[in-house]
Amino acid sequence: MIDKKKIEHLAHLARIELSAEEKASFATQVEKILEFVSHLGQVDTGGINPDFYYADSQELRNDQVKISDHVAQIRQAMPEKEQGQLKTPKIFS
Amino acid sequence: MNLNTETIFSLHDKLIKKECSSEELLRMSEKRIAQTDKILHAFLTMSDQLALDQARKIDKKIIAGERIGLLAGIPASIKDVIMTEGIRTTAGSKILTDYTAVYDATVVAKLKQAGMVMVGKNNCDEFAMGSSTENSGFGPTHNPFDPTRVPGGSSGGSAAAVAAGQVVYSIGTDTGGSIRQPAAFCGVVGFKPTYGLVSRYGLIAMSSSLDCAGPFTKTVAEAAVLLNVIAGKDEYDATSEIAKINDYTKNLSKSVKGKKIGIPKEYFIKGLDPEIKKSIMQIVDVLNKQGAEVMEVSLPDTGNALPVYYILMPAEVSSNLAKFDGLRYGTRTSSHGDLLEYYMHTRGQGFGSEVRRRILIGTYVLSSGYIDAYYLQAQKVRSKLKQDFAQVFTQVDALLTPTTPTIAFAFGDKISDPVSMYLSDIYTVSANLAGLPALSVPAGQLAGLPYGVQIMGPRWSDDLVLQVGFAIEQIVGPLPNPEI
Repeated sequence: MIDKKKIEHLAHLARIELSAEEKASFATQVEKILEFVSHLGQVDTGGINPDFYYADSQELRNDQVKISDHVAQIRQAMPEKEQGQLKTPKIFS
Repeated sequence: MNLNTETIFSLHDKLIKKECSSEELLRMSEKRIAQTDKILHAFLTMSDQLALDQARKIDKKIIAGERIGLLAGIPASIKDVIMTEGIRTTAGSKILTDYTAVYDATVVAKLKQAGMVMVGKNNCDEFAMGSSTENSGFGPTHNPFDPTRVPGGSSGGSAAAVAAGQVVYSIGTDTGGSIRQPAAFCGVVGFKPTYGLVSRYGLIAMSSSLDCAGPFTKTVAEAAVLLNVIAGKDEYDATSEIAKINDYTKNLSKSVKGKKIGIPKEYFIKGLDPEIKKSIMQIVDVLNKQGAEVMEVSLPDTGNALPVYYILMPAEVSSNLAKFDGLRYGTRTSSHGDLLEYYMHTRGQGFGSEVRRRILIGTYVLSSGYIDAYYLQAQKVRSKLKQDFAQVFTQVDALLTPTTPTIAFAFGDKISDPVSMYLSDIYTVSANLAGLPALSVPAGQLAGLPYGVQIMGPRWSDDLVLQVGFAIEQIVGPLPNPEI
């Protein structure tokens, strides 16, 4: 059962602010979506391995350090910076 | 000349014969966008100067007598969920309203190398989550055949832009049907290649095990030309593979004689418009007469595909979208309070409803106590679904289905009920879950609105899927363009 309290908990875990109305409407909608997917629990999957990976081959590139060409653009994209450093809000209240 | 009646091939011919310049084609595209985009809203950003520079570069080559490739100088557009260096890239989300991409996605880099003139960036559902573009943070795109109806989604802007002749082709992405469904609704060709054939590097990730980039074009042959350029191994995408075929246009016009084509009975069920069914069966009859061996087959786990999708995709979404915190890039809300409050506020304000809903579902299905019942079980059913396809492809070479159960729906019809919106992808999600190539080709029009037929094949049979699509395109013949 997905109630308002459960939605609040999930929203906190996912770091998402919701309004009071959203908490109520999301609870109803998420409940309905979980109901939609719930019959999967009844599918017989005995002896079947879960499928996590998709690549047919597992060829990884060499673990080599490369210098990015985009340092200046990445700095440019930072919303707030000071002396070339990323500035964040205070971490401890 | 009108872009709507031209193809990559006809325009290439005109360019090399100097009957027109690339700059003229660009102006034509921009004029068409200026005329129609107040109604359609297929574009979020125009690339003005970049496009002009690209066009002039190609024109110089032509004047100098240099050989140019098929795509050189042709006006195109890119879905806004794909990174384009120096150009605003929003993923249809307010959280990236003012974000300028710092590098090119591999597909974009390859197309630029091939001489693409990138006119602009196409509207889409926020982070590609949706089937109508109604979830775009910047307002929806409208269907060129009837602006009161949705163009489909999530790549609705790309589909509408090609259908309305604003550009010659567009690149979109498909996670559960986001290329094929809008292609069907807008009467254009949309192709989702085999997972791994086209690099995902630079696609703003929604669901990494499902996302695929692919082309929107007017014809199947043009889709094959684009695949020739965008396919192949990329060191920046560990799941990408070497393209074993170097020319996807080669077999297009070969006869389908002797090909075994399966009609999965689970796709022709209640909810499918009887007119669409009838029209697809007529196509099947002609294929049969041309020597294809058509047979009914069964994919028993089809009914589980959407539920599997709506567990695995949100799980991957909740993980992939954790990076949008507004700190390093993107929209930063006023920084009051501490870091936690800041995250909550930025993500709460920056993400739209559908994105937040999917993140919450993903967080739920991955949380301790639920992960085995939901996520792990869904992965197992996904394996079963793949086995179904493996089994069916021992009997047939390709599968034929409708792309969507209906024609384009009206705005507002499904937006308030997420599950009814999810059902628009009922025929398309399986190909993503099994990593298969799948193509939507226009199959006809109903009350002036297009619908499509879908061709699926085994992994790495992209050439065969395109070949069957080409044969169907010849059977269907030309269909009317939108009147916009």
